[in-house]
Amino acid sequence: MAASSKSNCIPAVSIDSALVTALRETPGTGKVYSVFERAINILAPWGQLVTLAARRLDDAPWTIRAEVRDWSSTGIQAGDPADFSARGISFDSADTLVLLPGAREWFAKRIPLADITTAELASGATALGGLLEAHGVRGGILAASAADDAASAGASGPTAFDAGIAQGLRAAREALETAVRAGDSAAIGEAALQLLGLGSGLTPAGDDFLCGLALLAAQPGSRLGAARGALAAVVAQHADRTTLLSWTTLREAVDGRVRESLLELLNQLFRRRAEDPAGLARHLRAPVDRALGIGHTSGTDILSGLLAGLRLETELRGSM
Amino acid sequence: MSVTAVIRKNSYFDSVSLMSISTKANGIDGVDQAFVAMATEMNKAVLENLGLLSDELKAATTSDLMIVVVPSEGADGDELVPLVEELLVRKAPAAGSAEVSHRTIASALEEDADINLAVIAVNGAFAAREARKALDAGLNVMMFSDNVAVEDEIALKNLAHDNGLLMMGPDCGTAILNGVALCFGNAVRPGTVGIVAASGTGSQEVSVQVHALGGGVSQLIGTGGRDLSAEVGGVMMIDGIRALAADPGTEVIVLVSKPPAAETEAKVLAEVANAGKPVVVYFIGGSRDAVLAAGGHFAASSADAARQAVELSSAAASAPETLDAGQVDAVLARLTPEQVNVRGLFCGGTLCDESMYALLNDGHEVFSNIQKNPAFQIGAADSSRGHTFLDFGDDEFTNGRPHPMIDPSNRLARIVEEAKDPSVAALVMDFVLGFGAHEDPAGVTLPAIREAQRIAQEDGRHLEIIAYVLGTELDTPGLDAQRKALAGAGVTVTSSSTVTGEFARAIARKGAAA
Repeated sequence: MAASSKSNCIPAVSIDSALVTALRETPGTGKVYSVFERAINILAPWGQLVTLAARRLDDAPWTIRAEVRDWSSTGIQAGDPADFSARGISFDSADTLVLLPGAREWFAKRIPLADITTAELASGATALGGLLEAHGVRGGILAASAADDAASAGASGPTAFDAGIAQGLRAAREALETAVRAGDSAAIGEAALQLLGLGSGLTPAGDDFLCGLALLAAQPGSRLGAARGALAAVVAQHADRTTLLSWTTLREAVDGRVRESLLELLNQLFRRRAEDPAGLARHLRAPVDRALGIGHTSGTDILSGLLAGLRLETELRGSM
Repeated sequence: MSVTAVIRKNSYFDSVSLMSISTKANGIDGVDQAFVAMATEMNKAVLENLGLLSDELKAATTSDLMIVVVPSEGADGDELVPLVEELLVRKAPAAGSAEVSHRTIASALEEDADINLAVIAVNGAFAAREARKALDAGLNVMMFSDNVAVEDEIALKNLAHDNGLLMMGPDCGTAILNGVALCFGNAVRPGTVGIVAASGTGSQEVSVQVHALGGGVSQLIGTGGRDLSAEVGGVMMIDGIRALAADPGTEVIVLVSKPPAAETEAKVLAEVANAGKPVVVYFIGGSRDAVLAAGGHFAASSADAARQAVELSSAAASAPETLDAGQVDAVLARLTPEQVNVRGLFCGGTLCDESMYALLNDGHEVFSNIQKNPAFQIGAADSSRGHTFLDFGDDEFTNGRPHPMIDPSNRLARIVEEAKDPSVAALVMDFVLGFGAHEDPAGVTLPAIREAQRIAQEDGRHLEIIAYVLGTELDTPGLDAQRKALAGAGVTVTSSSTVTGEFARAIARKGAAA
């Protein structure tokens, strides 16, 4: 069936620029991987996981946002073939075409850290830390760092599995931070491997933490360059250690490519340079809330990784 | 430790759902501990440390979901696993709410006997049957579905009336009950103003203007657009008035409708006298004398209805915003002598009506697809002429497509088309926010607005675009963000439906004076 003859044509709102190139160079047939209300994940012809997102989600790597409210009502199902071309992505099974011409191209912005003073880094870390402590969702990495795991897991206390995961996250996180401080690439890789895939969700808490840390490490001028390299190597070598969605997200994060709400938060962290931590925290409340809304604990876990990165960046500058 | 495990191959649940499933699974009687997690190496390592890793779990891959149940002493794990799997089948709710999907009204009632309202949004051919089931089960009904026979509507409303229930609809798009906004309802402050409305966007407009004035809404009961027809006879509006009269949280009642049938209007106004509370009546094109004779408070506009309601309630009212004469003069000064016509392109039927009546009551001729005068009726395929006001939510425009409040793109082509007409002085349009409405109505429309402005500019004209955003700062997206987006594109943004009509009328007067 020709693409233009689909009875349900959905205009795309925006598209990751990397995806524009891939669609032009590697058309073909992919397969729907998973369908949720707000997003559909598709295995593209070139083996990459591509996301079709509802308009209300934010821009992200390998993502097309489209004029859709609920993908699960389109009739597209996991396992359906999906035809990729520069014109759009079409689903014969649901007589649907996501039309790409006219969509705005999205690029992941970079924040040069060389322009940010150590005092500003510290101020950002203090503000973000306060907000996370006050508003972060317990259950992922926060439960792992809280003294009273039981209190965060409800009246009946954590299950043995939750406690085991919390213990694993805590130990691996501490090992990772120690290794980054020491600049020990091998130890960074070992600790990252202990975090990779640890946690119950579709993007496990350990991956989310790594994602936040990798985001800061990937910015130009970061002192965490060695950590970024080690993380990138671990992720590249161990695709089988976590879910495909989480691995794809992490692989992009080590290149500084994460969803727009996180980039916007990073941008806001350093925009108001003269502000004290309390003023900065007030200013950051809205973007932090948006980030905390990612998944169940994913937002909290990513910001915890970002916060760890900010603190490590500050420490490493002081030691040079 | 006895353990039962099941692997669901290639199963994906978002993390919010997984967390909810896991919490519920641990609450099942007989479950000591339940784990639901993706089968990654590290998660399996945790299970191994706990001595819970079976060979089956060991073989699972990262795309598989593990369900592990440790039964309490004396419980049978094999009996518990299906109960956990049932949670997966039901699909855990998004955003951690208590939302659960049921296939029938009966099964929903089986699960929760406290349910007291059914929202029916199935195809119109089946809606009456489902509504009858709900009413028979003792549920109030809000029927979003349209295309329901008027005979069915009458029978359902009489059935509801006899059983002391509400039958809101058919074609009822807006309600706020006990603080919960349904379908297109807006996020407004709770308060003491109760609204009964036979008009969806009309009731939305009154509720957001009450909010803007500092008041709040106790209940908003929709009746469906046909309730005040001669055939239906206002059964639901009368029951709604009685319900609000008996509601201790309601101090003032507001009635809202498009022009009602005369005999039904008389029946409803007779009920106003018995309400025992102040009743503000805003019937577009309604009679002031009839309302006053019934002991009601006549409202000449939606803004007037909101203002009176807030003043009659105990809320502290802020001053309503009015038409800025200086702004009107500035707009008129930019128009060429040939630019004399106003074109209204609306998503909300009552908003279209209110602006259209602002011109009609001023003696202007107006063409419209919702005109009562057949001589001035035009269809969706007809070109505009003179002053034309179109309701894009009318059946002829939707014709199987989503309502423009859900998908405002229906009118984009018309915006560009109207810009080509050198007689057009202004385009007037609405942007409706609300729970069921489009996420970004202004954003969807701005490219067409810019194109319209470009066409006029290249033709040496200024095309005035007047927009009203119906909503509150509590809505998503928020009112301010939508207003700013439009103002940033050079659009004149008004403060209410009433002011929008007044602005349109002021421009039409220029044409009449030419």
